[in-house]
Amino acid sequence: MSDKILEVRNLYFRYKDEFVLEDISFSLNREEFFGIIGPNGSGKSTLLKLIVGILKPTDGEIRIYTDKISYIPQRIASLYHLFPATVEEIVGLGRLSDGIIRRFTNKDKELIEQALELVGLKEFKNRKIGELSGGQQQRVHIARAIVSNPDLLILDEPTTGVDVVNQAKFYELLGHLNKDMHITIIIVSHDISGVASEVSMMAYLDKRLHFIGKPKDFFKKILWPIEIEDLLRG
Amino acid sequence: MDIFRYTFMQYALINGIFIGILCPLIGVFLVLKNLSLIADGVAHFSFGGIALGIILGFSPNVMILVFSIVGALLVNYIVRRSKLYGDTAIAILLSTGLALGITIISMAKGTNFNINSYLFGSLLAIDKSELVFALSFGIPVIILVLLLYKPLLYITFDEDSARASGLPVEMLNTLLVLIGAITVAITIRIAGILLASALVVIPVATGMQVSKSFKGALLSSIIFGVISVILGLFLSYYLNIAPGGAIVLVNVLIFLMSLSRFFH
Repeated sequence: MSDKILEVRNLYFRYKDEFVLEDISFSLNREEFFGIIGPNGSGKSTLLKLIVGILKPTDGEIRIYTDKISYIPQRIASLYHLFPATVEEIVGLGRLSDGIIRRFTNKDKELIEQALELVGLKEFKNRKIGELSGGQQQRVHIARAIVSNPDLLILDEPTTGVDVVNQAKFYELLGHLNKDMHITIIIVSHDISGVASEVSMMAYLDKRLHFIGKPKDFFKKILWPIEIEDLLRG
Repeated sequence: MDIFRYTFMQYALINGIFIGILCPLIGVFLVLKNLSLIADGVAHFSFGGIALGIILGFSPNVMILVFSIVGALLVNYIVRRSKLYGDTAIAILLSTGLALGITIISMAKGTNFNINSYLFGSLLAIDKSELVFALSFGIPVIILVLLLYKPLLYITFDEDSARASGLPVEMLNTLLVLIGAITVAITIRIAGILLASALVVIPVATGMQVSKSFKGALLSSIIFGVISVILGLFLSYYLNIAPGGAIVLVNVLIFLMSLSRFFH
């Protein structure tokens, strides 16, 4: 099996008359933890949507060497306020990656229980998802992703609306999925310090890929952190 | 009971209970996907089909079905291909169907056409052939929803994640509006064009008030749907009022009760 899990070559994406992404090329090995940062409107979310196939490239090529992908889009917790579904029902949706017309077996139910235990939400399984906090809802989405047994987990701004303490726990959970469960992770975030302390590789995107490499090189060679934060605020 | 002596009432009750199950079963997905109004748009659009059918000598039921399906596919197409929100596309469709129907009827003066029975529903309209029509299209819809219950829930909850997980989202969306259209077409004869969509939406709105799980919302919506149809038909028979109006008013009453503490 190839070590590569993702290859992006000369990728362009245009929305109306404006290029959102220009000439993006990179590849990602299995079991990497890849963080993408960049200012608002830099094309980070667009890049993820292109990778998972929600959008089609204007030009260029994306090759993914697995079909076991889980994607957690950018969401605000209030979106699910009225949705009548329990935590267990939502997590169970992840099992549909093994076939859409099927009854859940005991094995499925066991996997759902294990995933809920891993994210620390076992006692919340019968709660309505809208009753949980933003941080807990993100854990539900992670559990939904885990039960599909993904090779590649893609997250778009997962810590939006989550307090600092829970952000740290969340990154800890992602680190565990990456190191112990060997899941390749791509995460888009504004939270440079949170991302940089966890990821094995990071990129700075602003329509073009300005940097890709190890986090320590990013801070040493490219920009001082304070400058990056100013840039992101802008 | 007096009411069961009449064959037409027996058919109306069987048909009504079937619709009471079918409408919320589809409605729960439409409501949660913010497509509540599509049922209204499709029902109104089919008015043009009924008028055309009567002028051309085609069965109104077949024309309702064809126009409902075409209408639902048109909304789906317009929403995905144009720069319009879904409610605008539905408003265009709704007006087109009504305008077409009214224009045809006004051109065909002297036609023996009971417009009220189509607009407001009719107990007398439900005979054996109507029941067979409802069951033969409704049962496959129920089987499909039961088979695709989980994937439909997935695309209702989060379309993007479902797509990334490899689910055929476009196909499931198209299927959902198609079975929604068939459901509305079956419901029109008993509830009428103007009120058919209420049977798809209101029991679900009530079910959402009292349930914490999706399965619970679905089952309670069906229970509320069936209760309101039975009570509505009884009221319609004994008070000699249009069944569509009676069923919807019972539905609204149950919905208002669901907002009270008693249900929580």
